[in-house]
Amino acid sequence: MRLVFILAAATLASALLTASADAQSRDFNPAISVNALLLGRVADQTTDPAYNGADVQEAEVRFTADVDPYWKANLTFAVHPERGHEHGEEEAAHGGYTGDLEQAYVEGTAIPGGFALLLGKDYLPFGKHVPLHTHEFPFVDAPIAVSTFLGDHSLTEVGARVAHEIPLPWYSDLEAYAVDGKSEIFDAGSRDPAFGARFVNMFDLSMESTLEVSGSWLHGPLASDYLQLHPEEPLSGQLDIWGVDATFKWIDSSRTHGPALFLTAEIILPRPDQGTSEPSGWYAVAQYRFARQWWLGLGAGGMNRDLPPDTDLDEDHHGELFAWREAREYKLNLNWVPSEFSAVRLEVARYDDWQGDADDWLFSLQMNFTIGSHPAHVY
Amino acid sequence: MKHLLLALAFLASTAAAGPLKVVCTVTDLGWLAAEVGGDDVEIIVLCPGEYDPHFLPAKPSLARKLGKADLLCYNGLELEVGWLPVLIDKARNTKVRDGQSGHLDCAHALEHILEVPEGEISRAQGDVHPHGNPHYLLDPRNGILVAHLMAERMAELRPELADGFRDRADALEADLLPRIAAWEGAAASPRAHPLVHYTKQWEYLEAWLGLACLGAVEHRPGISPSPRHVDELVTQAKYAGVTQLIAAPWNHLDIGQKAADRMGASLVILPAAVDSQDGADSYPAMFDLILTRLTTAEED
Repeated sequence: MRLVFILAAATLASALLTASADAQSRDFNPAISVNALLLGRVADQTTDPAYNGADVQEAEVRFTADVDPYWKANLTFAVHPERGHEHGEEEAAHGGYTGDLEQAYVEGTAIPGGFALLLGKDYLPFGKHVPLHTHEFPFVDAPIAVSTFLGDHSLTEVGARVAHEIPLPWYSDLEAYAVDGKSEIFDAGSRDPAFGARFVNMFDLSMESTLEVSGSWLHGPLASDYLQLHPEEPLSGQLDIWGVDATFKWIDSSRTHGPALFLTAEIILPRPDQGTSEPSGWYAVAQYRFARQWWLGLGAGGMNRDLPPDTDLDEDHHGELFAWREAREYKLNLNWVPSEFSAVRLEVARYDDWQGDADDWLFSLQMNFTIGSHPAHVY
Repeated sequence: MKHLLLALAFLASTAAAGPLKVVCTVTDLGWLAAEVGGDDVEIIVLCPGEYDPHFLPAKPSLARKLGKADLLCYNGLELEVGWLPVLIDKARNTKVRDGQSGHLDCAHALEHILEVPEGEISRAQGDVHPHGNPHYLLDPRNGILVAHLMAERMAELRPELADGFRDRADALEADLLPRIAAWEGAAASPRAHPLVHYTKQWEYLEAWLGLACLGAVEHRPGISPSPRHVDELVTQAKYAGVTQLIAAPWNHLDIGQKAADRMGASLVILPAAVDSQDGADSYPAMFDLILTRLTTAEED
């Protein structure tokens, strides 16, 4: 139903834009870019259809334009397969899709004093991975620490965000936000808002290399089933999540698309009022461009829900593959990037269940393409 | 109270009289802005000369520099489309946003833009620039036009210094015109044989100097050349007697060298921007070096 609504809205918007273009000029139409991810994969152990077979992993349509001299708007609609364990195996087996409004926000373009203001729905600025669109992920799937503790790529919230640079010798930026708190990690029925902050510090080591060291914190009403827990009484209280991340980037300046190395590591520490004591997670990623069209990716990560031994996990919530109590992941991929607008990725991932026997291998082949306006490259 | 207001007014006028902070995206524009602005401006260039200006990493430290600017001068025609919009957003500087007087698209100075696509374009043609070829600063006559445009915009932002900006732009034109005539004269020998490019970048230079171009090794911008295309280009180049394959320092020179060897031509690396190579530390010096390299390679 939601997909029908989104398609109808997109059709209406398109019709309005066309009508506007016919009547006046296309110059004021928003920049439109469309990205799609095609994914074929097979797992060694699990038979979950989400990890076996071929599908459109996600299709995303993005509109960007200045609204007026005061606001710039961004809207992103995303369509992805309905997961069987969310909506019934039968529906997934028949190739059902669902859609969502991932982003709908305006940024102030006339805010004085060096402040930034964002109003609307956007990814929360927590760590390095959460703000990424799926097609920007360094691997096919998000790190298990991110998907377990921050939600399965759904930490998008409606609210307000303010940022300002801190006057330090290096680039330093502090961002604070207050949002509605309706993501899956929060209690959607609560009237309490969620809020948090991110503190970014980036040092130019040379013209070609930088080091970023940043910290994140968010606070909100705890979801009754946070971490897929199945207590007799639903969880309640508040949730705090702390994070710290570091990124080193080196890009050879001597030639176009020359060698480049990106190293990222992040630690995530959720502290819910109830259900578990001190869960923790981490991941580290290395991406190396060794030839003009070729990138190599290497990753590792881990998470520990730190659950009491007698706690039940809701395996139907995300599928059994990601219902570990404690696990490690190891990933390797090879990426062929013939242009800025397409990429093919071959990936192998190994998951080790540290408190059970749900180990698995996951082999993936992913095609990523973008059509439409030229995307700007965020550093 | 009256004295306080007078003091504040004095401080404000002192601040306004300070140097105009000009951020330029590329080194050619930085050199032109420094010539036009003289001691009345502070110049910061975002993209160093040795970088391919299509692919500058949009580091936050660059946004920080842009955040303090009174005037942003950029090349336009989507040369910087991959990074400048990000920096403008991140700079949080209302003065340099589109529509403000501190936002100067220097391509507006041009009288004639090359290679504006006619009809349908698509990414099948590579990463084409939909508004035309952006490498117009490789024709020094366009540099003069840009200098005058900069002078007018600086004059708008600092009316009390307008005469100085305009006088310096006129002086720059007077300095460049005889040089241009000399460079055109020096191009006689390179005109004898058609050139091959590594990638499409030199069209304004060729149009100005009357050089002929047979084609580009990387004929679809941003896309690696196919072996078949290179084979065909080598055959044509041999037949046409090509003696030079010209490339920018940031091009994939190993591929260029192999193609040049197969053509029996010299790979000639030209400064494609101010400071992109030793000896190209100013806009005139860049053209001196370009003409020297072209004529030397032709004579060899």
